[in-house]
Amino acid sequence: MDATETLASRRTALKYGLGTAATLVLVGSGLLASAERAAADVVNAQLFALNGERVMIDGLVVPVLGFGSAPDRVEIPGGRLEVETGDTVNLTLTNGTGRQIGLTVPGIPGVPGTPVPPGASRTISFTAPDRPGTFVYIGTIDGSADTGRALGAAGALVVRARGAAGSIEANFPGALARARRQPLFGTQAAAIPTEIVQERTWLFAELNPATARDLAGGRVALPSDPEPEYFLINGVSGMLAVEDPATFLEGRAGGLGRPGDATLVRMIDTGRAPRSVHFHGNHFWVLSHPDAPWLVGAFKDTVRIPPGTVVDVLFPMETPPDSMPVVERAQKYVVHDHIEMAETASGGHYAGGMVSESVFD
Amino acid sequence: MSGGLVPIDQNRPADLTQAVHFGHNRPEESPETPGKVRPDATFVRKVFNDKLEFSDGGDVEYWAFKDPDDDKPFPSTPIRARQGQVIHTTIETAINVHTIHHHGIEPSTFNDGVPDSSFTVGSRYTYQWRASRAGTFFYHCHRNAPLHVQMGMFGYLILDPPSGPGTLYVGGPQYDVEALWAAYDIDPTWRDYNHASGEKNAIADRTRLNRFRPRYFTINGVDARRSRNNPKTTVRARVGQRVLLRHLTGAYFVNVVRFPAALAPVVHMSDGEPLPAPTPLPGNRLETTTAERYDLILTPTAAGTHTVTYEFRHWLTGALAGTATAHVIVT
Ligand SMILES: [Cu+2]
Ligand SMILES: [Cu+2]
Repeated sequence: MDATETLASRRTALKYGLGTAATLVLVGSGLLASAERAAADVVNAQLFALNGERVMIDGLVVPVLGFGSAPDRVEIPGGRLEVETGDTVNLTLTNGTGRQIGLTVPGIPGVPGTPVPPGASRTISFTAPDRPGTFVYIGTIDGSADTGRALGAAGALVVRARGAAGSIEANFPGALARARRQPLFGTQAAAIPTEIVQERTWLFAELNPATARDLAGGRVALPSDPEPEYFLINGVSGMLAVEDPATFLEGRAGGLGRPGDATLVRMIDTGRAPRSVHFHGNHFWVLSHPDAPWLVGAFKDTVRIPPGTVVDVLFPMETPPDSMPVVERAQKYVVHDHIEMAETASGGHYAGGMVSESVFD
Repeated sequence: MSGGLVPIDQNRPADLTQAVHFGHNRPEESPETPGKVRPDATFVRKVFNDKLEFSDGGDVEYWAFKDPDDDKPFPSTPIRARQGQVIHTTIETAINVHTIHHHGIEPSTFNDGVPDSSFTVGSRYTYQWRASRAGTFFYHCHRNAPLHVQMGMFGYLILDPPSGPGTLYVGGPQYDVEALWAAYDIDPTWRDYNHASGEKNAIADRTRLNRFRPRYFTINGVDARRSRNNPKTTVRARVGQRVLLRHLTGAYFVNVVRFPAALAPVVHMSDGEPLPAPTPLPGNRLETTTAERYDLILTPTAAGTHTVTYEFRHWLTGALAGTATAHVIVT
């Protein structure tokens, strides 16, 4: 299956409301492949805590400790676990490392955090919240979630409104009613998307190789310094993130002031720094914000994501409104963290960091 | 296991892979503008460099853009036009290679000024776009952006509604007085880099564009001790007048902006679009990161000098690194 087919299938699946884990298992989609819907309101999944290595964009090999959906392959980040509101989630965590591994999901109470000893396996059950939203599961390593985040033990947990994957209102109640924009050119009424056509999840992470080696070697406390050297979206950076089908946006452009394949982007920051994510080509609607709820419904081009939190946005994929002559298709734009240090790799190389693209077909 | 830090450069390949070179195989060009039409407004922006001086006697080099008739401004000479106009911005890059990205403006890819998806400008190019929105934007160089933006290659871009200045956007509020206050923090050690540092081989170059450790904290290049009565950081109004503050976060550290209650700040727009509703700023405190803009209307309720305080917080630790100030003098 090539990337185009993958995206098309994914788009179709969401459009027709089939957005459950079972129908969306696609190569390279970033989904947790071990997840399966066992009943109408039960999702079972397996997570394998594993040591491994990851090659950074410049060829540097760094140690990681993360989760895999199978016992033989660590995934950075861990696969995206998609559930519906109120689901019972049974996560079987098998610890293939020599450390104590637990699980924490900030914002979802009742997730048992008791660590699983090396070599052991335990099923962690919890109830997905009644309120849909974007969450992150983080592996605690010897009791430290900071260590888990620094080594890559994190993945997205997406809670969708039951049976209504494509509905903005069901998934982000009240956001659409607040959404606002000015008329184009001061005169021309412009539309606001009414449904989610496709989705991306971006998990932002920072990596310092020296810190990673220390942490992987058993040091628990994170140093306050030095600065990270790699800035990852979904485990990759620079051109690799630009070319990663699970990360870059691609869709049919709408018209002037008319949405095309409106794309929900769930942005999770697991780093120590905030992100200031800037999309070129289109503004986006803020659908959720952790500490500035007054921004929900704003149509922004750059948004602050506080560390350890989530911001959800909707990118309309409309004709770039300031183009002259007006361009309808075959455009591509970068999207990047505007806190410029995070656009680097190897401790300084631009643009090897948190950057991807949106492609207007 | 000891806590000693392992030298970070071990274990690296001698040459970076091709993958790391995203964005730097683009030709330097000075092409014709595709589909060029007669503009409603034209701007020329020449690259120049100069020095910023601070109250401690120190100074730093900066690079910026200016109108050919302007002296040596900081920030760059603003671009101001009207919603609906077709705009030509011509960059004259002088001796080096740069671009102009109109941040928040959404033109064709070719006119977006991003080297990674189009080209860098060798000597001259005219960017063409049409202003769909009114509001507060900015423009900046997008070549080796961490360095070039930090060096000062940015300026305000203000789009008034068709009726002109005095109204924020069509159907939006009116204002009497206007302030353009851009927060900007400065790491003097970055002045040792050259234009291309970090583009080819950051390790061999010893380039550390991930290591930003600012020493000066400014509004429009003015530090706190020099801010009072400085026209770049002071605005004058009468009680009850509406002062529009067009805030730009040009800083790389996180800004926490604190307003005195007597200014009664209300946020009307962000990034060139109206908020869902005008919002009295919660706690009179605005937290903002690089490249965001907020348009606030301040309506001073009392005479006196009201000082707005800009905290610059470390991007990784959140620790307070420095402050800058700007003032509303109310009579
Ligand atoms: Cu430049
Ligand atoms: Cu920008």
